Amino acid sequence: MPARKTVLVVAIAVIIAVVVASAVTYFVVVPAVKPTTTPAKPTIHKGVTIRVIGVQDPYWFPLKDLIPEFEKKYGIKVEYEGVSYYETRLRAISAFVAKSPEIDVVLVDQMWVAEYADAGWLVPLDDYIRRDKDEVNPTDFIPEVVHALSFWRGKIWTLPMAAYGQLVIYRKDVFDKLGLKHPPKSFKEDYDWWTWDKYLEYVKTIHGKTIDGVKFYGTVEVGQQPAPIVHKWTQYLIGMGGRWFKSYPEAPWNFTPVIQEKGKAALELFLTLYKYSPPESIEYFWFDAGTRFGKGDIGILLWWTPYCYLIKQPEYMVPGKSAVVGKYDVALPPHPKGWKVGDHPIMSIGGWSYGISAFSKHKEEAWAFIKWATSFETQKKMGLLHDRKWGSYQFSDFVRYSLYKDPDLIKVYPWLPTQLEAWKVGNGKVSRPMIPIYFTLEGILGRYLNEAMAGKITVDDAFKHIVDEFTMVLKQNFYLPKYAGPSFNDTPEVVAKHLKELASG
Amino acid sequence: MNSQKLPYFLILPSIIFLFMLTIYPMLFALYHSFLYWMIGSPVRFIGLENYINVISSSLFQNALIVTLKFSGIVVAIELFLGLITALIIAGIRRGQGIISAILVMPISVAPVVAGIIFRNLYMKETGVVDYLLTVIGLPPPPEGILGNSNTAFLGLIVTDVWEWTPFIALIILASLLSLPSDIIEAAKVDGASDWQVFRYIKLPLIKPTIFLAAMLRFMQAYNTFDIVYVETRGGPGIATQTLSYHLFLEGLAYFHLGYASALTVVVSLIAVVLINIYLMFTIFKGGS
Repeated sequence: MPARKTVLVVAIAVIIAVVVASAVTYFVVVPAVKPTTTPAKPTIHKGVTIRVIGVQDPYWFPLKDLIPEFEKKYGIKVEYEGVSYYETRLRAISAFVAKSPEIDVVLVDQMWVAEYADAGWLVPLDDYIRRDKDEVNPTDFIPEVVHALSFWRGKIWTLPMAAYGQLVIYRKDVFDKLGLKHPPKSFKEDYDWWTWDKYLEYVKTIHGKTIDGVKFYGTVEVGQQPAPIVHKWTQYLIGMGGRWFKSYPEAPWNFTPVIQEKGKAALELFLTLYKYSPPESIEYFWFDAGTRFGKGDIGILLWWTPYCYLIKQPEYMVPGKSAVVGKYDVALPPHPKGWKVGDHPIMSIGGWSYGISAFSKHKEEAWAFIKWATSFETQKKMGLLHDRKWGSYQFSDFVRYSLYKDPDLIKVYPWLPTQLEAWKVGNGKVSRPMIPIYFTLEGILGRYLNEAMAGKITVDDAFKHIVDEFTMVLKQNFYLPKYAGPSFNDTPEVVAKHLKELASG
Repeated sequence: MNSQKLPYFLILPSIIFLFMLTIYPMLFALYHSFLYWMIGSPVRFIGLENYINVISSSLFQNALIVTLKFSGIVVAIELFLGLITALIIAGIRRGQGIISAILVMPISVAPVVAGIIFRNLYMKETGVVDYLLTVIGLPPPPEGILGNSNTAFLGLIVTDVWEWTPFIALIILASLLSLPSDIIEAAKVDGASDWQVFRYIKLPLIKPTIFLAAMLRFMQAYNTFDIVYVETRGGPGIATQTLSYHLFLEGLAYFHLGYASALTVVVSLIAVVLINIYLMFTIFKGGS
């Protein structure tokens, strides 16, 4: 056959391949489902199967064991899948982009809410909450938690499932032996003295001491990039009154980076504390720090609240007893000198929430699952479920006021009143802004913080790079030079008002 | 249909299938490489801007250097150790089968599992490697093997060498065992020493196999992702960030789909150029 004909056959093949592949992509592999946002009729279809996807954080385990109760009560079958942090996001976005109904209930990290909501991938829950207000009891949810985990552009997109703050976990036996005053558990106590200077002084005092045959490190840091180190460092940033942008989350939004203003001091503190930490903590993930504290050679740890109970186990979700059971206590985070309650927030808030995929074919059943999982009854059961299985109770990340006041739960988790008070001085959107490009900014931040920790870069240079690269990304995405999108006053007070409105119907 | 055209139409389905699996994804990536497409932001055409950003990015430049350094070092070490191992096994009269079976074991371990195994071995205080190095007077840095830029890179090399040296050894062993014995025996009758037999007979004959094994390994090493993800996450800083890990972060963690598409094209082009240069100077030059 002449060359021209060969070319013709190949060209036909390419055209057919492209057409067929496109058709397969859009019509066969991915059956497109039109997104809807209006709540369906309140009819639960028994026998329906819903798929729930989420990260295997502590909440995941007790909820899994309670799912047969949900299935029995509603007649809905649940495919309950637990995956890694990155995979949760990857699976969800892949399904969303493909408009696939494969996921009904999706677990959302706080920073992903804006991204998912703006893209139209989540169903706003306000109408569902208003309709089922008696069942949901919206004003029982802690506004600071809803603000951090679920609220975006004036709507509630998810319901909080597990709420984390950052509190001080310290060895009370070591404090007693060294004659150190215990840090406060309540703002009603003498609180003014519990400053960052004091925190650092305590870390230095404990560091290097041998107590009961154990040589102590003052504290333990978390250095793995990008997310773990950013989570740790942002607690110092917010604790010093720092923020990422000139005006956010308060309106009008202005995304000019100001992260360097308090960020440098926060990084200096972080690097100083690293000197009193195990050197290998430069590669520690979230749970590595908790596990290390549980081994019994760390004096103080400022970290996410799930570690208040996780440190009772020898490893992450491994049954047994660690070396610190009965030897530690929990206190409020430190603050800058002169700070008073009502000044700027000082505690980071994070955690997980459940939302309904806009492409789900079983939205009403998905909503039934979310209502059930975030209810007082289910969360209380989760908190009191696993003593025998894990060697200690393993869930206190409650999202409702009523659970923090429950005597049964306080008996098991005595730090709950402290945690409840701390929500009032926390703000998840100041510590880690909920904007669609958060993940990109976190990547930049994590890289340079880690490089500073590794001694490859100075604090000044780190922030020069951070601000330059932030500015570039913000410009590319039209957040700078002037943000032209709609702003709203995104504060916990606004959320509290919103919850009251939903409760009143 | 005339008989001349018939064969072409018969192979048309295969060609279509091939194009769907290979060319279509490349065209897809190429098309998106000209877009500013980040999940959560408006998509727009930006011409070559993604390519300019890739080339000028310090992260890309670092990842390219890390990848080439890593690939070059591991391929060289694995070729050297693989050749020695193959020569030793080829010289053994009994038990070749058992040794070959043992050699296959590291290759059959998934890289991500190898990464987890070595991460545990390197672990400070509890890891065996950390302990042994301390015992022999070569204590790892205080921040641990994977916590230090230089030793973390070495740690990845050791993992890769452990896993893939047997692969090279087995390929070379197969080639050695298939050499015609009459030439070797004739050389020995003529008084050639073992070294001379290796240098002037065996090595030239197995050279094409070595070149091929080196190329295959280079392509694998160039795409190293799993062990980096499990052991170092590209750190400390960006000291062990390979091109594949950089691509993973941009594409699947940050969802910069336009930028990641351009990065894919650039990374693929570099691989194609390097492999063609290699082929020109090795396999094709020798006429093999």
